[in-house]
Amino acid sequence: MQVDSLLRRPRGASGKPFALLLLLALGAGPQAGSIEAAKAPPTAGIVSAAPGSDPGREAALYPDTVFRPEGGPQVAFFSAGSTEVVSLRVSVPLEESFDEAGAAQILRVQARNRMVSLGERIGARVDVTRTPHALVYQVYGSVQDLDFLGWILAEGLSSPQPSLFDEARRSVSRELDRRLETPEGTLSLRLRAQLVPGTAPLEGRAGTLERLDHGHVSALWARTHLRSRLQIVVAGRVDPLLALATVAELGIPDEGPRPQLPAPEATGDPRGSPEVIRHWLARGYTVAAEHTPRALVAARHLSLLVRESPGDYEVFLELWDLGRSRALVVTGAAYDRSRTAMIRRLDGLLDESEGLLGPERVRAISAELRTELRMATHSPWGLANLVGQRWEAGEGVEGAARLLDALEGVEEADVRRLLASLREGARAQEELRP
Amino acid sequence: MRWTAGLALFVVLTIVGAPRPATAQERVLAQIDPGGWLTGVTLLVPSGSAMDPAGSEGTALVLGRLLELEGNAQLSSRGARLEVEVRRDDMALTLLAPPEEWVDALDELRALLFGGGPLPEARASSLLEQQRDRAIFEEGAPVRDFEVERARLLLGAASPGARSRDGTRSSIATIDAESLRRFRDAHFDPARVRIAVAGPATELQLRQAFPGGFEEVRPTAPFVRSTPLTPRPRPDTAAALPGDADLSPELRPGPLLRLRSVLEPPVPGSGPRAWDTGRRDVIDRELTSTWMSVIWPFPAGTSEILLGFLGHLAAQAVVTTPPDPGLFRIEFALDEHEGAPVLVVSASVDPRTTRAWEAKITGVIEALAASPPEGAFFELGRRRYRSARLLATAAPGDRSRWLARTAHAGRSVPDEELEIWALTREAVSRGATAAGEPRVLLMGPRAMFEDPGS
Repeated sequence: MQVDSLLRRPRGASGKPFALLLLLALGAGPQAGSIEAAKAPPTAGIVSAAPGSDPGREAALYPDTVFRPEGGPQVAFFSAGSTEVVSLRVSVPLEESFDEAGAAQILRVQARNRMVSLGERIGARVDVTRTPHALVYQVYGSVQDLDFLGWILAEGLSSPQPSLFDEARRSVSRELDRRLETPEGTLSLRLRAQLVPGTAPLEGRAGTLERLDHGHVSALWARTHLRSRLQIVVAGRVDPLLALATVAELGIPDEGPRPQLPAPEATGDPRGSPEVIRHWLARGYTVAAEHTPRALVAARHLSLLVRESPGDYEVFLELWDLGRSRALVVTGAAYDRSRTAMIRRLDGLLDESEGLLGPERVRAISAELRTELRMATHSPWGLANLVGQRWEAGEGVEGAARLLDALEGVEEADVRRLLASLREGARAQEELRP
Repeated sequence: MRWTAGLALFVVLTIVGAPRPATAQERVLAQIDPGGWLTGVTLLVPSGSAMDPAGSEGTALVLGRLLELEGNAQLSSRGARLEVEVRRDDMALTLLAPPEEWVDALDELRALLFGGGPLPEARASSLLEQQRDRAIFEEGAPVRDFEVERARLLLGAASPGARSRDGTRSSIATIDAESLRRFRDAHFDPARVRIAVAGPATELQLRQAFPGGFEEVRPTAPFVRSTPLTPRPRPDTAAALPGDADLSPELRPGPLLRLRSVLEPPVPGSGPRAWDTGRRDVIDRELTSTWMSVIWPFPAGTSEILLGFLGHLAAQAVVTTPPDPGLFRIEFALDEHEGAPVLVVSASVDPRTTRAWEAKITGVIEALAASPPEGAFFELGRRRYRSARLLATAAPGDRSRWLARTAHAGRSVPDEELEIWALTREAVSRGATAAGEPRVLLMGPRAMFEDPGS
């Protein structure tokens, strides 16, 4: 491991870390067992940036240092703030087969229960979440408690316990039932099944949850929780080497079964059917992952259209991350009296959007989205989440910074092209009637 | 010559920029943190929902939401955001901006708040409609009724602060863009606003933003670790801390004197409390849970750090692991009444367990006075409290909001690290002993928890 050849990027450079550019120019990717240092210490002058210029605006989103020791884990350090608070976020990339849908949620509940009670002892906060790409363990607290924070993480990441299985499964089933009892929850699960058929819903499936046992959950843990697969983001005011020492040994095995999914097997599953008093309709349009920035702008544009000219019905827009792709989803709800008007609005929304799209609108939306993303850097844990989500999605440790750059480059023509492709492409649709 | 003069004028204009709104009367605190990525600036307007015109409850809240929407629409091109929090006695408008943009973003915000311009009618109408829908949806919700009853318990039924912050269907119907503008113009006076800056900022930026001067709050590690702009208080600008207003800079209390407020907390009778005698109110309602509030008055001048720690220890004593199935929800908060602090505990419980929970909560301060945690338990509690405070003020917006509120309440900004480590068992015991009799409110199915005839 190299520890002495730290490359410094002067703040205010065009955006890409100097170290990464250099490696690419040499035709090499990041080396195994290397350390890259990408940005100058934060005390070194962001406050001296000239007003009106835009130097190093996304500097917060580039790591100070990235450790890539042989055999893992990969650790990216971000210095943030002067308060002695640190956030440790461990991401375990994970994909479930259709037949084990919900096993990751059981792991999540077990880990969370273990971590919360430990975190309370020292006033640290913990969170365990299932994202479309990973199971994420996060803990944040005082730098003085760094060793304890590491211990909390290790407890969370440890193998599932048979004695806790039933309670965790009941908790996951309850959450799924609650979701299926709402029109939004039922529609989203059904629509997702159409958009990415054969993949496991993140929330789990009622039929599968009943059949799962501790062995399934344990097998999922064993094939995913391996040192080499961990991606760790450390954000805060902490010595990187000290933090590395904390997260390098989390009790995770080096080797395990090959991370291969069991073969999918389509089985019946009870369809949620909540009683509704309004007519609900959801439509989903698949978008390629590389078009995420323009899809974000398009979704916000459509959302503003509905807000600026509302009807006697409710319509909302979302951009879903489906793992390997995205989906622009429009959902509407209307009483009988407005049902026809709502359907007409949804039918014509993409055409309607064309007329009001212009360069000013795209610029304003892009600025708004970038601002919202940047605001995540207000705390070490927000920064760690923003960076970690893009990293585990396969966009690299600079994925969040690149997303912001890409958003700045979105033009009216890009959005028009995307809207045209949505109009012409296939769409998924689900509805619930009173 | 003309060319030279023109160049000189250009240079001056470039440095100084466009004329800024009048700022001479503003009172400003700044705590510099060069390591941060965003600068937080809070403008605390000392008028909240208690100032709503009679019959138009909800005015301050809707104005706050409108300013937040309008501010964000204007500020997003600068990468800045505005968060507005409306409370009973104040409205905190917190700007979060990249370090190179906060000065200009603040100018834009000042124009929106103090410029006297019209407010956007369409946006106001849409917000009012949303707020009215929400009020209709929440009509009769126990949590909203309980909030009003709790405020009455604290402030008295006739107090304007005891009205609904969110408004009612009929009160919101009386509000329009013009009445919102009138509220803004009547209450948003730069001379009454407290401003606090937290995060990365240079002295040049601070001078540009606040030509009338600012006071620097020294950063204290580990809460904020950095080098202050100035090694000692600036005699020309250091008159802003309300608690110190009558003292010359040399006579203002230093850290050791301030530490005495923790080591030697006020004893009973040492300062006025919000009330002298407690009371117990029961409101009979057919509900599936009992809503409960217990409020203790403490002497004016009690250290915020000590009170926060007392609340923290009380929470630890009351909330057990594993969770008690009879307790649905519980919150601990500090508030103020008549210039003196109060500790407020609010809970919702299974009606059958009401009496047990009432006894448990009302007894907790007395128990801390008689027997505070000892040894390792005390150390652990203090360490946990320190971490909780660190997390609560780690983000620049949270920190600037806290600084502004502390200054507005007339308190000196505490040296958190010093005061937390100075907390002792004895200080906890003395602090708890100084609490007055609590006021208790129970709202729920009386027959399930009160003896007949009581």
